[in-house]
Amino acid sequence: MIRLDRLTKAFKLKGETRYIAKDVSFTVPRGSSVGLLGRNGAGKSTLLRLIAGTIKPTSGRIIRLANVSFPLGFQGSFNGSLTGEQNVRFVARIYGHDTDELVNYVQDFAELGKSYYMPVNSYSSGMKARLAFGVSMGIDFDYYLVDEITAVGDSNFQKKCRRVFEEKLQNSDIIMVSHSNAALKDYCTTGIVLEDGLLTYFANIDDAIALHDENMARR
Amino acid sequence: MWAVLDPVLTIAILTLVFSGIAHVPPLGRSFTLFFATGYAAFYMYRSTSDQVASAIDANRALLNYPVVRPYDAVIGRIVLQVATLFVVNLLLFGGLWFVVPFEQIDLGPILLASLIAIVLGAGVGASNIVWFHLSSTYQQVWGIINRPAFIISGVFFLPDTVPHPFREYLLWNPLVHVVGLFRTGFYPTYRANYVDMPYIVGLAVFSIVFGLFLIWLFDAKLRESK
Repeated sequence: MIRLDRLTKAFKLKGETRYIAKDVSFTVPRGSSVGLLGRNGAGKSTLLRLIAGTIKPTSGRIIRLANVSFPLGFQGSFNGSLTGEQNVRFVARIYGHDTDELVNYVQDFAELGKSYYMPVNSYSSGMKARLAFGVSMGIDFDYYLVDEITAVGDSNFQKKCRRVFEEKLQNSDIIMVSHSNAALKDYCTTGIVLEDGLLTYFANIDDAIALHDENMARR
Repeated sequence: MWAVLDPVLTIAILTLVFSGIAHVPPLGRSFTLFFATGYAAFYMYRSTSDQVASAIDANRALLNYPVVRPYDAVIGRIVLQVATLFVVNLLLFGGLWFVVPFEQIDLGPILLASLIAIVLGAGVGASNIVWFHLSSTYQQVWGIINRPAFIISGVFFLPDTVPHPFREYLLWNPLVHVVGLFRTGFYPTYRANYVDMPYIVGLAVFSIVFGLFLIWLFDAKLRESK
């Protein structure tokens, strides 16, 4: 379960305060996967980072009674001068996972070949995403935080991701940022729409998509 | 690799230039040894403060893991820097020994001066992470103000030869003391009476405690990019 307790997150930009969330409280129960919808710049990725705990709320708090992953996104979370394999070792250690097991798992999963032993700086964005996806799938989290990363790689890799993801969904939930309605419907049961600092929670993802489409048509 | 080449090249250039201007170094007979002892001490401070100041920006991607805190990146960088400097100094003075064999060295003051230089550098670097993050103007100003630090830190002269009152002004610079202390380990006859131990030890301890405190205090702010 993840609980947002009177959560406020604001940014000051040139003297103007912009709210991502303003005094928001609600609970995401275990067993439901959430899709985050909103226009560009609404703060979907920021909300994901807040839930992960990589950034702190302006006020209020987030209570996580679950094992939450790091946010998986395109920007990557790797040290560029280390090789892919060394980065995986690092992640295994900080999460207390068996190092060799994770290294082997990601080697099989990400199919990076020789590049696995080359510095991440030399990777394409697709290769980085494969590595990131592999690492997080190798560790058992209750919640996987996914930022627009499902459409990674070629169709073979996508099929594989989908298969592993569906396996994971037996025991885990995902919180996902996506602009693809199809992906949201595939993976999520509930939805949150972000608009002007307001978060609206829907128990049914279809209702969330409907409101989001309406928002987009309006402005 | 540049960690080794930087001091080696700087010392080589200083030696070339100054042996052209003067005939005898202020201390001993070898220009190379005089500049090496001065620059090595200065370099330990300067490289540590630069490296630590960039610790968080260099590891920003790793802050994407919630369990990794800015503090960890700073501590990691300090440990890495100590290990690097150990190897650099070993290579530098090991190599130097073949060029100008120094008679006897006293490890006590050398290690103490190195420790103070590194702690001071780490403290200044850690505070600068926060100040640079809050103000890019300050970052520019810091760069400009610190450019002459090399000149006024006693790398290529001894404070003993500087006339009053400039000598007193000069001694406000803790690096002058560190360089002096470092040199006493290589020149058994050199006294360096001006070295004020309580001043530099106090300043080093204060800077590291203050720097790490700032990192801890601004944890949330440092997690967000500028």
